[in-house]
Amino acid sequence: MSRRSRRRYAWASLRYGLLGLALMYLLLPFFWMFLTSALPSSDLTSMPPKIDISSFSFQRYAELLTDPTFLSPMWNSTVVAVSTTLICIGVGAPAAYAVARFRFPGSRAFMLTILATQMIPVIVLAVPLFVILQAIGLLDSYEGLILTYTAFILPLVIWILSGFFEDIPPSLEKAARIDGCTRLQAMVRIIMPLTATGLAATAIFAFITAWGDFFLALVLTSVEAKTLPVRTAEFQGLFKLDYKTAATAGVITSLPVLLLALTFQRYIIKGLTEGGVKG
Amino acid sequence: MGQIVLESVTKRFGNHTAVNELSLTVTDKHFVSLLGPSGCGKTTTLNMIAGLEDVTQGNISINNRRVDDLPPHRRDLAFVFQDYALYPHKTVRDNLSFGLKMRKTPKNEIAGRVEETSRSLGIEHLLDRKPRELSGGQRQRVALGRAIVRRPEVFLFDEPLSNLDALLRDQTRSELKRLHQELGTTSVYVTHDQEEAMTLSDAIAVMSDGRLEQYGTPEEIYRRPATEFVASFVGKPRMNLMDAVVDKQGTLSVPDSQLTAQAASDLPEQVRLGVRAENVRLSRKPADGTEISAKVRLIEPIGAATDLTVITSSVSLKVRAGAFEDYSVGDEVWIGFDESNLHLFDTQSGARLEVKRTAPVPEGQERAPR
Repeated sequence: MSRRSRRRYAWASLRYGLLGLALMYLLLPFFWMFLTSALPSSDLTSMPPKIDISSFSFQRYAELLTDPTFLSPMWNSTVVAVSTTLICIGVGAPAAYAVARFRFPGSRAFMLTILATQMIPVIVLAVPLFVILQAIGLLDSYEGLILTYTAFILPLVIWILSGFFEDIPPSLEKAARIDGCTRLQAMVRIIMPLTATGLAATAIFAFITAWGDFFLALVLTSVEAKTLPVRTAEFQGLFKLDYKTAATAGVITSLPVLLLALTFQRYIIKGLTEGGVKG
Repeated sequence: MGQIVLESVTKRFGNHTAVNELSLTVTDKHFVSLLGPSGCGKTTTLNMIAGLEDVTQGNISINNRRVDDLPPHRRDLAFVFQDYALYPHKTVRDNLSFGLKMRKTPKNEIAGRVEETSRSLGIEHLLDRKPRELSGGQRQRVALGRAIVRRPEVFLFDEPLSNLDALLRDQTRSELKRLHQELGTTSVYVTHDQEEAMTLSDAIAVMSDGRLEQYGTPEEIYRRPATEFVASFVGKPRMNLMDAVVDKQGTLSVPDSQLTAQAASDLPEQVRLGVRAENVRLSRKPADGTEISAKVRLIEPIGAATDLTVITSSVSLKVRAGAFEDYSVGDEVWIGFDESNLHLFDTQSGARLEVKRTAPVPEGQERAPR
């Protein structure tokens, strides 16, 4: 082996080694959670842990998926996350388009304000939010949670989407308007298809953020609008520690996100790296 | 009929006036270029004709119909963009037919027109490709096709050739000229390239700082530039321009040099004198005593001719010599001016000063006939 190819080989091993470490760091907890949900607790707490595929049991999944105290938070999470995503994209896309295309008084200030809101830690806002929602009677309700999530996610959605719109050459839109489109038609028929990957990636981002939030849901809901992450945490009560059920709930909670990411990974990668389509 | 009339059209962006009181009539079936340096307002003017930009003041009409309040698609015009602006997610066929579809043209008519247009541009084999699979030249043809297929009253071009390489640019330029001769559609063409403007246009509007400097045929623009700006902007190499003084007898002289010429007596004392490189007389030996000596500084052969930069005691001039004439740097040459080819401009306004040839020439100043 020449020195040069040896060096290249060493580099490649190092790169793949690091990638492997990163992958383990990301996947090991999930893998462990899955094992916890499927294996008898005694097998895992023994030293060394006994991992035997033949003793896999999915009984806890069946139990949870028929348990009304679990199904209702699941429905709540779905309603809240889907609504938040729809509102964020529905309102965010036109807003981002406006910011990207028009210079209006205060457009710069608007974008900076958006960024500034992201600097405030959520924990600082939790108590004021609680007080506000209580005052307007939206505590422990879908509306209250959707409103709160939208307030946090929408600014980021506008920020991300405006980048995608900025990448579309303005001449495309002018061409569409000359060809017979109104501004709105030009947006729907030309701009939207070109930003589809960006829209998909951003929508998934919004969904994951709303779906996975624990802290705000914990503070702002109690019974009616309780979401999946909050319910999952409850399996770890004050006096009991049901690892197995908690892990099962954890797997179920992360499944939609996982499926979304796998289905749309091509778009997500394209959307996050390319930033739209060049004409 | 596709006559375009602009009446004192003004466009302001905040405090900045991009187009100032522009009045212009584009005759039906004519090809008119808006020529000027970047930032002179030519593209803004085109956008206002297209309806992509609002008019701050004044009005625009096409075919005697006021259009400045109409949206772009109701003005019956087509636009060819500098960056082609083809829809990346549509095939060439869909790019061509989109405008017709939006206008609810019957399907079989669309198909026929797309076929006819693509054949005339030689792009029929590309119809099912996406724009990203095309070369720059092919994209430009598709962009032209998208304009032609609609058969509008007016074509608007925004520097359509500037993204092409030199060879392709010349070919496409000839193609544009051919298309205009065939279709006879009124065209407005924005460019900063005076050569494009000269070769393509029936008339050229030279703009600077949002104002119209001159509007005339290519010959008028070249032979009788209305302002110093036009004189310096149009023509290659750039016109020689220098300060000159006129004495009471009407003799023009360039300070600190022996360059003199007979002008007229009714001129201001100070003028700007312009002379094109090809109008400077050049010889290796003094011929009639009016020439002065100069030294060759730079030799730039361009094939059909050779451009020399020569310096006299006070000025540096571009002079045109024959193809590959045998000069070397440092050679002494003799240069002189012909009165008939001098351009004089006001030092303040830059406006052209007419030299009255009938002005009496004092005795003894007459030059011997050559």
